Amino acid sequence: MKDLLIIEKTRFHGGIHPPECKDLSTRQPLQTAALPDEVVLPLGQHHGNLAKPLVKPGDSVKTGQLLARNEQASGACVHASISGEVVAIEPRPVPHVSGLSLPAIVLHSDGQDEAFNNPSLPCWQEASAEELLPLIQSSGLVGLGGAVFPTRTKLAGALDKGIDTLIINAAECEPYITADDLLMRSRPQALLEGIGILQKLLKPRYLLLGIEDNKPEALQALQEALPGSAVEDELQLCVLPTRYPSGGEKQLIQLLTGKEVPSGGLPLDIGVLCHNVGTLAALADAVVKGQPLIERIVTLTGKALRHPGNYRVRIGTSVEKLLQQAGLETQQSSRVIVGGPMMGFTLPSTQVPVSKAINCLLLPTAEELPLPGPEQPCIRCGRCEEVCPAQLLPQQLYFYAAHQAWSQAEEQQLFDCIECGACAWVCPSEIPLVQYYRYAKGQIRQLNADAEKAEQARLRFEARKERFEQEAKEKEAKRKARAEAAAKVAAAKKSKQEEADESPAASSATTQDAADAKKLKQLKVAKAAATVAIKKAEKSLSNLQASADATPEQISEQQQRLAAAKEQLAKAEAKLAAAEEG
Amino acid sequence: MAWIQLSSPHAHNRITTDQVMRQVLLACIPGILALTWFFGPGILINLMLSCFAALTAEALVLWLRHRPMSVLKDNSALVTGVLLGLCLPATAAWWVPLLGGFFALLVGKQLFGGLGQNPFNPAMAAYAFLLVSFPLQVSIWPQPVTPLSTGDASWLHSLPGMDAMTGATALDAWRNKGLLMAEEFWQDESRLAPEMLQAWASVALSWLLGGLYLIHRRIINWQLPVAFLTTLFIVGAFVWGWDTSHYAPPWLHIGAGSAVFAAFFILTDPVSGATSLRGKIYFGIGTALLVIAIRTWGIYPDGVAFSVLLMNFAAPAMDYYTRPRVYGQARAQRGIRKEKQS
Repeated sequence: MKDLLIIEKTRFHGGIHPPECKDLSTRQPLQTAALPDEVVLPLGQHHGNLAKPLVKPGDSVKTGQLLARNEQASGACVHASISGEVVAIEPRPVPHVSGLSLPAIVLHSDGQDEAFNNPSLPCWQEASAEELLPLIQSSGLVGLGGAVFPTRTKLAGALDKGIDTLIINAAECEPYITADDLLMRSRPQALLEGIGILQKLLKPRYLLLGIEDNKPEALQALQEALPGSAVEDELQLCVLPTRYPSGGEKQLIQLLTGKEVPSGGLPLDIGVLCHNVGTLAALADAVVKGQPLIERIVTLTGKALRHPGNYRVRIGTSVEKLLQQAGLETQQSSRVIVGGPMMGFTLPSTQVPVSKAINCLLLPTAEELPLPGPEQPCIRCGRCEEVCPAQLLPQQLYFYAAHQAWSQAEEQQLFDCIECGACAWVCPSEIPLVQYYRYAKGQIRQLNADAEKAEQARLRFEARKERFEQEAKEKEAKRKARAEAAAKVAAAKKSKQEEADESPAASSATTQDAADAKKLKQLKVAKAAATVAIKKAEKSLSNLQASADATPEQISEQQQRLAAAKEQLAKAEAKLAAAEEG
Repeated sequence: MAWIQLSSPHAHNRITTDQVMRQVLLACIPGILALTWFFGPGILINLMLSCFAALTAEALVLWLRHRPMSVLKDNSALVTGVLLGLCLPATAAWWVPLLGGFFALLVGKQLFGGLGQNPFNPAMAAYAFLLVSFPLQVSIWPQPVTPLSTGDASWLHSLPGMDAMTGATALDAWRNKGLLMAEEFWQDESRLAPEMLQAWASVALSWLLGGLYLIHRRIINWQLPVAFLTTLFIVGAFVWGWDTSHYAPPWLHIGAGSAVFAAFFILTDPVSGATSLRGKIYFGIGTALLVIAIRTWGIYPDGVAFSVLLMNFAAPAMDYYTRPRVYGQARAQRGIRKEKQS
């Protein structure tokens, strides 16, 4: 077992120390929420495409059964979190700031909670990456720290590129949230096993776990569970100073390795991979027990709840029901915040399911987190700059964003902003800075997309124009060539004519041949005309003979005509034969 | 039920602009007390008049611009009024602080768009305006006499201090010493009374006290006052070392005059100064150099106001050229380097 590494100095720039308010939800041990009667499982609980449902309404399913598959790199599978019956597959509101609705599978519980037998690899120590990765893919694992990025995709990238350092993020720097804290306190073995699986899969040189020094119980639980675990000798526990946002991926990497993730890049670019503790415990469950991601720990906190605490919640449980269990006093609260007070978003309605992304539901009273006052003018005090962990100039970004000077905002590296909210937290003028940055980012992205579209349209138009021009040129060239050829022929003819005029006797063999051919053609035409005339005469004759009112004069006339035509034909044939012979 | 929708962050440290301004006012108290002790209640009258003028002017503009009067509660006009009042001699005529207060708020601040928009420090703009318009009114200070001074000398006998004995400030006296050698100057007490020197040094100390309070409460950075005072001392020492009998010693630069007051209360004005930490340091150094230049070769004895105003001009450029390196970027992007890269 390695000695504890205590990092005393905050290596990232700035940061803040807001009131932690974590004891509100750590007083109670980890509880299990009541089994829901109904779950709503959105087919998209993560970035990327929607999963494709494999069941239809009326099917009965067991807990943990695969309901919707997602083979795409950026998607994840969806599993039944209770046993029962599929009652509908229809659009339902999902926990999203805009009140977005997405197709979801709705299950009604049969109360049995009968488990589906999923494949597992209890002896993962002997398993290969080829065996582990499909298992992780089919378990629907996503990053439970908040980004909900599909775990398999992240691991595949790491396997592909190779990593040097694996960082386990146990910092949990956001105030109020204690889901990871309680997980480490109550299930340290599962976490260590999950770390072991990743260690086996990725073989990093360094294995670091970063935890803020405000979680001594969790740290102690880890230290006690470490001896005899799979990563006893490799795992380095690192205690970080409590300073928001030390749990931000980029800041944690800087704290533990001193390296910075390049702008616009990924931690993989510097050989680092970060995973949240919740994800790793879920990974262990998936691999060892064959239990896909059907539940997660949710911190229910805020002074508007009578029973705040951490609950193991089945994915798809109604937020409303969950808050009722935690003793919501509705008249006390006016906001439901998903996540913490610094980076969380507010829900427009509680009639949404708990998705894989919800780590905390915060219901503050008005005294606890007062609504922001009116925005005052910026006095350029520079406090925002002092606390910015990305070392941006938030007040400059604000000016540019507010005045829609997008290019300047981009030049000030707006897109390196991690939206941690430290600047807005300290702003004495209560300017909602992060909102300005989000707006500016959205506008710039839209403008860039529009510009790209316009550029493509321009290229398309130019290509078309060029094609038309080319075609017109080719046509012109052909026309010219034809005209030239014709002119040449005419010139040749003319010169021949002149030659012929000058010396008719010397008319060449070729002109003789041509004349012959012409004659022959004329003869052939004459023959064909004669044949046609015969046929015509024969036909009129037969018509006359067939009709009742034909006079004998008419018939004899036709017969004469026929005879004349035949004579013509014979003449023509004779002439032709003579010409061909000649 | 209807839930309120808001953008993150949902928490705030609950320190607002009016509280910051209130802290600045609080930090002024030791200085106000010291000035009153040495120069009489005229200081307090000045403060009242300049604050009245500042608040009235702000209210007038708010009314003209149809802005809510609640803006007055941000205390910024009050701070401007106090800072201006503190620059004026106790014996100034009643219309001097009034005029100054109006000028500071109307021309110095509101003409540019109000709080946060003014390129110049409003108090210094007004002081400079008064200094060039009414030089005598703002540069003649009363002789420092404390309530404890014996007999008629105490200002307790000459309330409200309007007809007190007047005398030159230390820097004024030095400026007017002409071709006198330094040694002769110090011996001639008629030019500069030792009480005057002591009074100004005590006032400077009380400003230091208030400044330390502001640093302690994290209202201002320590770097800017330190950069300013250190530069003032070091460069002052160099100039002094050039000809000790002719140029002012460095301790006179700091101890006499408004250097300490300016270091903690004027230069640290966020609106008109540089924003980045490095910019602030350059701002302090630049102001100190200008102060030395004006005091040594200029016609004004103190020169802090003009130095600050000149540096206010330069502040945006300083911010532009002192941008820090952003996390994850290979190097800091400053000034026009960006164009060169692309």
